[in-house]
Amino acid sequence: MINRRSLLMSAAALAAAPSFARIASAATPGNIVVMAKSIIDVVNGFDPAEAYVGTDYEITSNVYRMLVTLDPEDGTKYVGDLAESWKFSDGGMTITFKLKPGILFESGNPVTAEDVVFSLHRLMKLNKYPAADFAQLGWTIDKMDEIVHAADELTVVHRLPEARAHGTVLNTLATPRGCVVDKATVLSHEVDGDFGNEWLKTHSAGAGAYRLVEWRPSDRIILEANPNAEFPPAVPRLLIRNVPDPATQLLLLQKGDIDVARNLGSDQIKTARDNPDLVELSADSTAQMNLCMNMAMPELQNPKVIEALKWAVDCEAIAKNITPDIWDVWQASFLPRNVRGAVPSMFQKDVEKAKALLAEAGYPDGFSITIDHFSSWPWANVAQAIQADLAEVGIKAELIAAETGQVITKYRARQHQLVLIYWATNLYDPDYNARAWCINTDDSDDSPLKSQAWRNHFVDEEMSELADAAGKELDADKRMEMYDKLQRDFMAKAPVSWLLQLREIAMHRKEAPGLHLGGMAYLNRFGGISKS
Amino acid sequence: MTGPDLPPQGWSRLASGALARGGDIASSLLGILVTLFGLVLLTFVIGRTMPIDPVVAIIGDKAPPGVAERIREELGLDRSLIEQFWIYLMKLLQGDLGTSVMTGQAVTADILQFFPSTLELATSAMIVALLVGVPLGILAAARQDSIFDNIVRVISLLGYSVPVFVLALVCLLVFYAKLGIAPGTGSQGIVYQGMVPFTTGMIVLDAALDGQWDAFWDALAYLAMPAFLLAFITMSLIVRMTRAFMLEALNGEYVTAARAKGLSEARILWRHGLGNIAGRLVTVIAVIYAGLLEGTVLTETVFSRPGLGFYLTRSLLNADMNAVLGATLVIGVIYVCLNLLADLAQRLLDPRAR
Repeated sequence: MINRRSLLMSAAALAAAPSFARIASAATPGNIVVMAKSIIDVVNGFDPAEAYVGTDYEITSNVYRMLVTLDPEDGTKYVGDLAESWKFSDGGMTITFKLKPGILFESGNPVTAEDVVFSLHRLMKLNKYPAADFAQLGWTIDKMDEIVHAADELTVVHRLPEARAHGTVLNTLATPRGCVVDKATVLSHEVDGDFGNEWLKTHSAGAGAYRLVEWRPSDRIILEANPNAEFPPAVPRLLIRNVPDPATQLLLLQKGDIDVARNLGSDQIKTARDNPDLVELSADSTAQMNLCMNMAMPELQNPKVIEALKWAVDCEAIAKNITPDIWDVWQASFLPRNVRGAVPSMFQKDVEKAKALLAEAGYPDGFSITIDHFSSWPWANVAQAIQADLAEVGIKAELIAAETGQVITKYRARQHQLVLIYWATNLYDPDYNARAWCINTDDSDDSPLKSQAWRNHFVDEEMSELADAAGKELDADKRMEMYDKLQRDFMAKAPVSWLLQLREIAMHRKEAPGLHLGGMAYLNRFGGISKS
Repeated sequence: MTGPDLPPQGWSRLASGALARGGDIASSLLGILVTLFGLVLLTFVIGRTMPIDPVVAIIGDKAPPGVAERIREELGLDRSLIEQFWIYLMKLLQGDLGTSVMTGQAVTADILQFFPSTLELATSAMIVALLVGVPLGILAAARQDSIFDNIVRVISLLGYSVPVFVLALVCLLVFYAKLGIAPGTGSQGIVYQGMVPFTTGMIVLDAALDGQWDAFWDALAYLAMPAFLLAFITMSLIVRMTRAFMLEALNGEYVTAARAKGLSEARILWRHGLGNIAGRLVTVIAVIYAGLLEGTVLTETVFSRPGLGFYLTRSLLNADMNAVLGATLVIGVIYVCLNLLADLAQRLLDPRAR
């Protein structure tokens, strides 16, 4: 009986094998680009007034267009996107944008100044998290008619409510918060005064290269060419498949079942480099890994201890042995290396110097401390390396591994001693990170501005004032000098050891070139991907 | 009143039997309700007291405190725990499981999206595991300590000792990457994506129901490898349990008696042996099946087939409590239903359980 069953099963398997093999060997069709990516970070869909994370940002910036964007060749310069030109007047307090004529939304409606004004007013009135970036520029819901208005069909006037560096204003407008939506289409889907928010989570109404066709959470996103796009994409359909496992991504790429892999790890990258059918793309991301020190801990109130910790860690070894190709050494200050004005990396492992500093601080035999960190790769491995480095200078570190949300919650509540954490700026303009890491004018638990400096009980009045002043300085050269000083002061005093900077790497099959990685999710562009 | 012609004692026995059965059913229902209530309460308390702020998942780590506070109020997290639970319970009674903060969709809609994938995978794996596992377990017991028995034991040992994600990656490497006889990950080929209308959410079944046979074979090909892999793991458990139960049965006096009567070995095995262990086996199989329906996160992750386990894990790690509670409730109902079915089946198969 068992023999008969085995025979039947073998026969069935043999019969099925050719058809499975036919399916298995199917390459991606020429009119579709298939990208493998972990898309589980998408929360709440793709309304630009609500999107905030990596994949949301990437999709919205390929589906919508903004007034201005960052120059793809030089991330520190701005170029017009919907705007043909812009000029400053009124002592730098007014910016007048002139729109390009003839740009159409996917619906066929023309892009007008009214759409731009509606989009920015809508962002503030919906008052979701992205509105906070504009609120920091002084934008308020009740004054929006004064802040942004249409002068004519193709002219948008923005009156700055308070003096802010032009780089900060333009960069904020160049993020997906500044995406322009089709007013008529969006309002036709409005329910209970939601400005079409519910509808826009799963649909699009933009003028970008693509339009959103489908989003199945944790499964796939399908984009199709916008039929009215000014710059139509080279391939009419883009399928983003959720493939969270890097090893699986590599297998699919090698077999040609996907065209682009976005989340390969160090091991997979090494393997992929030996494959002549695969091409590597990379760009400096603005994400940084750092070790934050809570100054509520008595030992960490001593500046010599903080400095000793900065000299104790061997980032070269970590980057070489744990995170090759992905995280590079960047032991500088609060600006990542690809942001204009970043001061160079300064610290390196120096055990004797660290020991001497600890002895001067009154801790010749070190002390005990805890390090909170994420339990996933590479955080756990990096934390172990730091633990070993600290042991060399006499500091006994206990590791506390936890899930991402748990570590962040603890860090936000200032309950950590040391925490190994991740930070990525939203802007290429230095103002964003300077405010986050230097300004803390109220260190109480009820502080209205719970910045990164606040989270570590770092209070420095002079630096707080300088960071605020630099953000408002209209003279570009003077402003960069201020940031230079701020970064050097930060390196000397702040309870933060910057360790590594992320390099974003994608691999594509050689027949599917054209993906542009811009260093930040909203600067990644799909429209140029072609298939041969 | 018409009815069978029974003596007065017969009527009263029948009535008392019906009453007893009614009482049994009422007590079972009450037990189920208490179990589900306890499950919801426990999950709620754990979820609300775990040290993860759900607001971080919604607005990220960079949102200013004012926005975080507003979101907290919108979610009702500023209310007392009892108040939050009461509100949740009232909505639950109206069939509203709330909205997931991770997907922005109703939890019911999420479960309808994620659960069919798990159901499809778990059921196909279970069918294969049963068809192979039970006969193998019985034959291994019948030939105890033979080469066949030892091979079966080694294979089943492999099944439950090697981590599932390792086996999954090895399978992908061998059958997909090297031999090219199986498709890669996902649940459908690219050309069929979006072509099969949503009926049950199980793509293989939906394609068949819609008469799209090309899409059916394509989806079946994608299902085959993860299903066989899970079947292998499940089969390892079933083989062990079946073998152990059977060995016990074959040592029974009634088997010795059957042999003395000259019954064939096949009849002894399949009729007397299997007949006697069937009740217990069904209970074990129900628990294993419920475990599969709970979701197999690692298999789902490696094969990029997001199902209920993936949904539950991701929600839990982001403190998305409506989603966690909804998924837990579904799993609870699955366990309760399968336990009930197993009880009924056991009563049917095993006279001692009646």
